Amino acid sequence: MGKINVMKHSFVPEHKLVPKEKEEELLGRIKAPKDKLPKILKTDPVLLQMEGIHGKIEEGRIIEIIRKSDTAGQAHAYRMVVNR
Amino acid sequence: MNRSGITKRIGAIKFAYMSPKEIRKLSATKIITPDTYDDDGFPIEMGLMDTHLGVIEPGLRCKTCGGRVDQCSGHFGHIELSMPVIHVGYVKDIKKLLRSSCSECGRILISDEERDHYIKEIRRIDTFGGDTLDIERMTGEVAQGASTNKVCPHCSSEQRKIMLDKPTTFREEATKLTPKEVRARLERIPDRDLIPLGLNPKVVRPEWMVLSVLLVPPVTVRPSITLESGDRSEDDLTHKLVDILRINQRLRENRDVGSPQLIVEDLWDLLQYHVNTYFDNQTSGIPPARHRSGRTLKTLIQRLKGKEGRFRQNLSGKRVNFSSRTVISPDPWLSINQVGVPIRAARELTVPLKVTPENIEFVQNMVRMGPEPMERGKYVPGVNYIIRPDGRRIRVTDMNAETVAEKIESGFTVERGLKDGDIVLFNRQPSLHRMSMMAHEVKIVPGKTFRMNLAVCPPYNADFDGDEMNIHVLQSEEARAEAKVIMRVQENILSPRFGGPIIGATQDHISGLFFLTYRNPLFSRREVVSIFSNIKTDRFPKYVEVEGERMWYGKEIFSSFLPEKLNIEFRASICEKCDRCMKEECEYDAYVSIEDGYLKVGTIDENAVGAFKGGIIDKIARDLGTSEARRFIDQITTISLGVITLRGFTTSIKDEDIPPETMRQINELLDKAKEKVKEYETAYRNDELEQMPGRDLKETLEIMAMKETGKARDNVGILASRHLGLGNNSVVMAKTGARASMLNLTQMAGSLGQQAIRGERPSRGYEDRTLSHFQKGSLGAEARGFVKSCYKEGLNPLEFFFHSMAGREGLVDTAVRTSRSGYMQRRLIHAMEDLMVYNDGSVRNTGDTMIQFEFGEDGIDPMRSKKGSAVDIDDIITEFKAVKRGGGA
Repeated sequence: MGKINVMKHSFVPEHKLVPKEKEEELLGRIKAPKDKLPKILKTDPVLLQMEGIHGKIEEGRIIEIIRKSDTAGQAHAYRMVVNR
Repeated sequence: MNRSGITKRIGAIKFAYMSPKEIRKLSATKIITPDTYDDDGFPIEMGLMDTHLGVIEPGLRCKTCGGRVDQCSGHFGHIELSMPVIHVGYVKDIKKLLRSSCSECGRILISDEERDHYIKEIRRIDTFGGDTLDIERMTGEVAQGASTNKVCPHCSSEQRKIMLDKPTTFREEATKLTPKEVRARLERIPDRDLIPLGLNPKVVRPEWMVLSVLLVPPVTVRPSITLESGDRSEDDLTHKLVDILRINQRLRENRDVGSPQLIVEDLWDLLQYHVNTYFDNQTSGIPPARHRSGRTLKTLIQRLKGKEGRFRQNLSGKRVNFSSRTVISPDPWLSINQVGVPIRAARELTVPLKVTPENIEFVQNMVRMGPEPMERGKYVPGVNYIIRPDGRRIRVTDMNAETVAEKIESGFTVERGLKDGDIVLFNRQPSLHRMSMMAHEVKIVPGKTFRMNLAVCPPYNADFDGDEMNIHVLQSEEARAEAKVIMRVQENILSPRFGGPIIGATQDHISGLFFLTYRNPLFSRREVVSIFSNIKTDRFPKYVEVEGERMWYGKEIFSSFLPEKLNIEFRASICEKCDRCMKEECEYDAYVSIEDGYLKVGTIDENAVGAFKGGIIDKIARDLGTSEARRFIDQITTISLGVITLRGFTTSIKDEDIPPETMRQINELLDKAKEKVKEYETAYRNDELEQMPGRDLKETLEIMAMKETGKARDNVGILASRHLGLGNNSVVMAKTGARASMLNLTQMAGSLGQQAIRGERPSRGYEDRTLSHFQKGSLGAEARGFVKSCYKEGLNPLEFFFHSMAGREGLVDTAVRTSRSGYMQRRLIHAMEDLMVYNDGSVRNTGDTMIQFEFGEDGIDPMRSKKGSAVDIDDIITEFKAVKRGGGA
């Protein structure tokens, strides 16, 4: 873990780890298999930070990102954790 | 999909190098002589035009397959190079391989354990469906890592640095490596060591990157052309191959007789040069090969690359039939959905018509009339060709029309000329957005130009100063139906670009409606008849009796074209933006209120009906449908022209006349501004200027001077416009949004104001001054591009110079902007061309990868939005008021 908590920065949107048991429901809702999701690196600073909270996050987990959006107020996006 | 033919899915594409063995196997003949044709004009055996390579002259037969010109697509040949040469396209890879392999034993410069680790890693990426880019990145890293190893881990020999002298000469520190040596080194690299370097040894050996055999393309790829004089002119590729053959032969002779090493090496380099330019005639570091005339040759890479290359010119884009192009001109009597097509074009452009038992008689009659029938002096469509079921085409002429008509049977197709109501696509380049190509209904017109309604100029960005546009005639029923539903002009009134109407009134249309509605004038019976004579309508406005005469109010006339259920309120373009809006009681008649299709108050101008801004058009298209919007635009533009024709409309420099007293005031104001700038200048010199935060003194002065002169011009505008009221046509145009702006008028009547270069006062030119007419170091208003004069009075030479500077900057900026934004758009289109919005609102590409989980994050179709937002509160309030009143939609 670095000295600065990047997740507290105002430019970094909220990241959440999707619980494993909810993954299936989520993928069914957005009608996409896991490997068609956008990716997020395991070495992403935010993920490193999150590992401090959730413990190890292995490849294939899904991260929910909640962004502030000019058009929609709030937008949800999902990314799959990959190792490189 | 999958309606006709066999559809196949490409599973994978494998890229590999061609081995010499493969080239020889593919080759139809070996080529040795640089000569092409003998004295009788026949191709020489084993020459570059050998008939084994295919035929380009009618009558001859291919010696390989026996086919004629149209049957044989040609065969490859080969040239045996007397000495190997490096392939220019692979120098980077060769360099990578040489650097990461041992110069002595050929092994990769990493340990076996490392190597096996990387092989495993690559297999892992491969099986996990990784991108080729990922593999490429990894192999790059491996090569990079291996090349830093100074000692071979396998044979412990020391490695020397391999350098590449552009374009194709390799050097090991100071000693040159001949292609032969390079080849020998590449041969030594074992198969298994190739995998971590990104090569698949099952299909590729690195030594194939050094050419020992050259593939010769078929003659059909490089046809020679016979000129009228009987001379033959060879293709650029043939020229290049001749060069290669000549040098190749000389090299072989010299080598075989044991010439001095120097001569052989020179020839070898020359051969390398020719082979390089044969592949790519634009490699940096070597002069391009030229034709006798001095023209650079177009060799293989040049054929493929760039805007004029095979990909962009011939594969991504193609020329089409059933299209035509001519100058456009305006026609206010056409609907926005129509396009006027001149007879000449209508005869040439055709629509296929299937002959059935039901229409056979009709078709036969049409054919009987020949290709160019006229009926009572009027155009009727003719038939140019009939197509039999076997695909044979028969041209219809006046001579054979009768006989051909008899031959027609059910199942034939006839190609008939255009007639009124046909659907065609109309397009103006540059096609920057989807409204640049819309479907129109044909209306046959006399003359030689395409005609269009003026309200569709904005989406095409067209004017009539010589613009040309294209028409494409749709050839299938499906295409026509689809075009009518999604591409028709009326379906594109609302633009997805900004969520408002892009089609609407412009220029005189707006002035005309202003005169019809501003302060509600009365029109006599004669006038109303004249206005209404141009359109079809069954709704007539109510009249009022004035001194026994029937008179009509302008707003009443306008209201008769509004849909009955329309309710809308907004501020007109002529709104003075008072501090407190009086709404319906506006003294300028600038607050528009429409209740149940009746214009109660307000003036109709750009904010009501203009393209880009028209609130009424927007509302109608949104709530009442596109057909209603089309009807509305058609009718109001037509009556507007009626009104403005009645009244007459002109503008001249007199419009900018200002009383002497005001002129004096303006002068005073401008002089005062100059004085003020001078004061700042003195203050600056005396160091008394108060510095602005974050600026130095000089910057402060510049900002204050700019502010002062800007303010002066604004005040001039205010002063001048006091005398420029709505009784003045120029002002009417500016205020209603028909054309020009109040700033333009101020510059004509009052003062041009400060000229700016890159947003700052001009400062460069002579030493410490802009022009030699000023004192050195002067920072005053005039010395830094303040123009006190107006266009009407004329500028003095110094002012004119500054004005020209600013004018030139504007021209240069537009030129630079168009090219830059054009390329940016190309890149964006390329990046997004395969994205699609799915039924669930998500955006995915053709690989089904998610791009956006909800289109635009909010799932809003910008075309159906109101200026980008999903809900229009003002509109809801107005509608609510209407319902409370007992009306509304």
